[in-house]
Parts: sequence; structure tokens; C-alpha cells
Amino acid sequence: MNKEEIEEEQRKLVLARFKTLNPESKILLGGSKEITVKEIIKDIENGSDFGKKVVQVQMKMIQVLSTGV
Amino acid sequence: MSKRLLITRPNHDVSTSYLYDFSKNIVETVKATQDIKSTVLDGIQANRNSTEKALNKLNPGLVFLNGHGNKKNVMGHNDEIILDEKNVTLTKDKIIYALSCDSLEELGSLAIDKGAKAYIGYRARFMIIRDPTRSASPSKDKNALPFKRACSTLIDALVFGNTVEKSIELTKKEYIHSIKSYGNSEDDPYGDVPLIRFALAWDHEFLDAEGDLSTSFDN
Repeated sequence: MNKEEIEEEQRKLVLARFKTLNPESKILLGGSKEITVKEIIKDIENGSDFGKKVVQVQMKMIQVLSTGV
Repeated sequence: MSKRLLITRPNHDVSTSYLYDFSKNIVETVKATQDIKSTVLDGIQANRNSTEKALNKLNPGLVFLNGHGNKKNVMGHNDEIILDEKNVTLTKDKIIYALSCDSLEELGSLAIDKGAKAYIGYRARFMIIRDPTRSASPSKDKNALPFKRACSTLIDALVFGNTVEKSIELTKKEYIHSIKSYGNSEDDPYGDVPLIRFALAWDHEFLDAEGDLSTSFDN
């Protein structure tokens, strides 16, 4: 697998995880803005900068969780 | 000679009400600590004029800014800009911890250029998961608790003389601990745990500092 293929697989994995969540759940961002899970999913699907960061952070989180407590 | 600490605590909307609650413990702790003289700009006092006066006259070694922010500014009450490129020289010889979005990215670098010892902040939006039924009383919001613990770890570590590097290390450990140990499906009726873990991982990823990481509030 090349780098692009790995990134695409990671994107699919993170997307699948977010799709298991309540789409109306919200994250409070600074500036009094809130973003819903539904909006995060759109960002991942569209490959926005924010969506790419979400994938990057979620993959690191999976690594942290997989190392055990 | 006592160490001097300045804290700004706006409290005019949902986000700032959570940050206000997060900083409650450190305000009470330093009040009871004899060798630290604290100046706390609460609510409407968290404005540009008062912040500039405090930075000038008190010359605090550590400045803890809470509030909204972006790459170029940190805000106070009603989102008045209290720190930006025009007054960032006031951070000279000080350690700044900005609990706000994005400001490390540009303002932090500028502060270091202008002589700040260190600038701790976030390179992206700061995320919190709240329980919407508890927004009127953030201190009772269990969803916000792991975020509060991480923020408290950082300011506590700084106030009690840890280096910037050590303080960040301790905070990142707290984030990791929360990510690994937070909740389970039994006490998560709304399915918030995966999102809380994600937001903790996000804040862990983007917390960082610029400047002299070996400096501390004792110096």
C-alpha cells in the first residue's frame, strides 16, 4: 500500500467510527461555536483541512487506546 | 519576594462560563498561598484596559488568559481583544498560558519575538464536550470534567514552579489518562464517551508552547 492508499483507508476507518455516533451530538469549539458530528462527517468526506486533522487525531487516539491502560 | 500571577476570567457566554469554572480552583488555591500575589480580572474586569494596566504595573511572572481567541488575538469580556500585536510587548519577560483557541499559532510566536519567556497555548480550536442539560452549571457537568482536570493540571503545575516543559508533559499525561480511562457504555446514556475521547485527543494534540521551555514561574 502506498501513502495515499493508507490515508484513504484511515479516512474510511475514521468516517465509519464517526458514523456510529449520534449525528446531532456537538463539540463546543472556542468562539461559542458548536460543531455537530454530522458536520464533522461532512468535513471528513470533503477532505477539508479540519477533516484531515480530525482523521489524524482520531488515528493517534486509536493508537493510544490500543496500547492498553 | 512574592511571585505575581495575573488571571483573566471573562464569563459572558457558554464557552467562557466553562473556562471560568475551570479556573475556579486555581483562583482559590493562590488566594491561600502566601508567596503568590494574584490579580484576578473577573467578568467585566477582563477588559483590555485593566489587562494592560495589570501587565504594566504588577509585572506578573505568570499570566493565565482564559477566553476566546484566534491566531492573532486573545479576548476578554464580551470578546474585547485584550492581547494582540499592538500590546504584545507587554508580555516581555513573562510566561503566558492562553486557554483559548489557536493563539499559539501566530500571537504566541510574536510574543516570543517581543521578549516573552514562554507562551503556552493551542495550535487549533480548543474543544470541550458539554452536557447540554448542565450548561447553566458547568461545575456539575460530568462531560466537562476531564477537560477541566487537564486545564487545572497545567496551571497548577506552572503556579507551583514546574518548568513549562514539565507542566505540558504532566498535562499531556492527564489527557492520555482520561482518554484511556474515561467512562464506559453503562454511564454514558447519550453515547458521548467516544466524542469526549476524541475531543481530549484533539486538545492533547494541539497543546504546545513556544519560547524557553526550561523556564518556570520561579525564575
